[in-house]
Amino acid sequence: MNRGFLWLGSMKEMNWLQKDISISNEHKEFLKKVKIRKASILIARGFILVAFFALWELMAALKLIDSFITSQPSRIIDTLASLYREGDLFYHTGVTCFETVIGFLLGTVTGTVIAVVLWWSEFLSKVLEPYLVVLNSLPKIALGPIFIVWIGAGPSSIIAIALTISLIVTILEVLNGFISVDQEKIKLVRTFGASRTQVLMKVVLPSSYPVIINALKVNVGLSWVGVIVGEFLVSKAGLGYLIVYGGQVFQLDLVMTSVLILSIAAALMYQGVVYLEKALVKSGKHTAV
Amino acid sequence: MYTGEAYFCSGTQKSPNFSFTVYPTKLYTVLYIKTITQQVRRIKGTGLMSRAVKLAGLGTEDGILGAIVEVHNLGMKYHSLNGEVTALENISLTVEEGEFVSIVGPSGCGKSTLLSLIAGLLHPTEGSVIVGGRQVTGAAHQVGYMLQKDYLFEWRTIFENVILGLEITRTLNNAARDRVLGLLETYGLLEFKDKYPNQLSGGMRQRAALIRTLAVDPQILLLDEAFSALDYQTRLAVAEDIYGIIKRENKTAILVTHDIAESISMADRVVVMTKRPGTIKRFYSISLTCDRKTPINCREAPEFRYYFNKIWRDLDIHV
Repeated sequence: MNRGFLWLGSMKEMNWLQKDISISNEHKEFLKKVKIRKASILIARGFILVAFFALWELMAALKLIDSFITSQPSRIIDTLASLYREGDLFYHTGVTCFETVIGFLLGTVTGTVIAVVLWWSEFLSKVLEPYLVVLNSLPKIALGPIFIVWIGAGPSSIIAIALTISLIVTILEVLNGFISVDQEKIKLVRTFGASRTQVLMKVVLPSSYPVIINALKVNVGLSWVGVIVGEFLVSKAGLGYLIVYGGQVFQLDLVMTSVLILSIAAALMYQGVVYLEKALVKSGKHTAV
Repeated sequence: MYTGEAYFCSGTQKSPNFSFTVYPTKLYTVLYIKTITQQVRRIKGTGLMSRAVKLAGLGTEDGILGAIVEVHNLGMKYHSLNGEVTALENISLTVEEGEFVSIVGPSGCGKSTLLSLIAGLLHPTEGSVIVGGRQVTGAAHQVGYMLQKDYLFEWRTIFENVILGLEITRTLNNAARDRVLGLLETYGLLEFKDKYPNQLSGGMRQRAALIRTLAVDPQILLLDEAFSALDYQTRLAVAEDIYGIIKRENKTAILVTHDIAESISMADRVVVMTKRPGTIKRFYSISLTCDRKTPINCREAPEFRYYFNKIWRDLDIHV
């Protein structure tokens, strides 16, 4: 189509021309290519999953690998079924998920609150800076036994471990987000006479929303680590407990099954956070800054 | 007791506009001056007014009548580990109600610091600022501030953005809401009120930013390089647009800019500042012959070049 022709056309004709362009053969071809590419990525992903389990099953069946040590997909399914029959499946999964959710919510909320306090008082944040740095580099799992002695062997200790693991990272991340808020935006609300609380509520918190969501994503993973380690140390229930127990009695079927459930649960929880983020973005409220 | 009359020149006619009495008691003086103020307000945009009042010895402790902004011997120093920097020194400036004043100066001359001081965002090391008869001690919504960029919050709709100031000053009621909706309608943004800032053009965003400032009904507008983030063409159009709105809403404005042409085309008076430490070098009362005073028309006035060259020389810029 001649470009100059567009000048002569009325708006209606222009729309019609654009429509005409949008269904041109080249564009059709392009769209088709994009579709094919998308589909082939999905197929390749699925193929890896299926191939992995098929190969595993096959090699175990052909006695190429020792299924006593490596377990095998069919035995995992059997274990799942028996766990389900005895009512253990949802019980253990539920316990672990509960501890993780509580741990990561507490970690994110407490971390954000502490970040607010440190943002509020620059003096305090400067004073505490070296302590935060040391605590951040300390492997929090080392504190596990201390929590067990203080709080007692039980879910509370496990949640405490999960919380400490995500807490310091959250504080540092969120505080960093707060500090990097555009100073001009703060100046803008200050010209209206905003108090420090208003600066926090109207500017700092809302513009740090993406940072907080990001912290949430990181914390999901960290909390799983905290909870599983906690369960290794103390518990009588949960997927971590099943893994340790299975390992001690050389029941690799149980270990592999638990790991499988764990990865599915972790993936689902992560997707949950991603979904939450998307829902917030979709409502138009929080586009990436 | 002192009784007297102030005379004002209008053309060749000499007429007593009002008479006043100053009682020895301070309370009386203040009360009486308040009634005079109302009369004075009617006589607009005359530097004559405040000067006459000042001559008559009628300056109150807080300020001169007729002037909406008064800056007295203002000085500002910044401290850092590397030493002390004097940003502003001995700045005195009066802005009349309804006046449009531009401040030009080389970069780093403390123009923006001056605006921040007037807005009460900073505290001066020396001197004082009086806005609307009251000494400025902190940020107050009688002063509306426009920044380089629009800084509309991307998580708020246009409507939520323009009521930001009302929310902060806790003055958001139905009347205020209606007023804001009225402003949006007058300036062609009503249909965009539920859109987010990234769905608007640069000019519309700047207009929304101005409405956000006007929503709290400030006595005076401070424009801090308000157009400098825009490309040249948009900048001319937005300056024209914003100027029109300011005049229509009858607001007093102080514009800080490094663009000489912009300062002449918009202002009634141009203040030229020197390099650091920033002091006032010269005042120019701008009178241009053009049909309708708008920034773009003003640029075509024959006197434009004259002012431009004068100010250019004053700025004394070397590369």
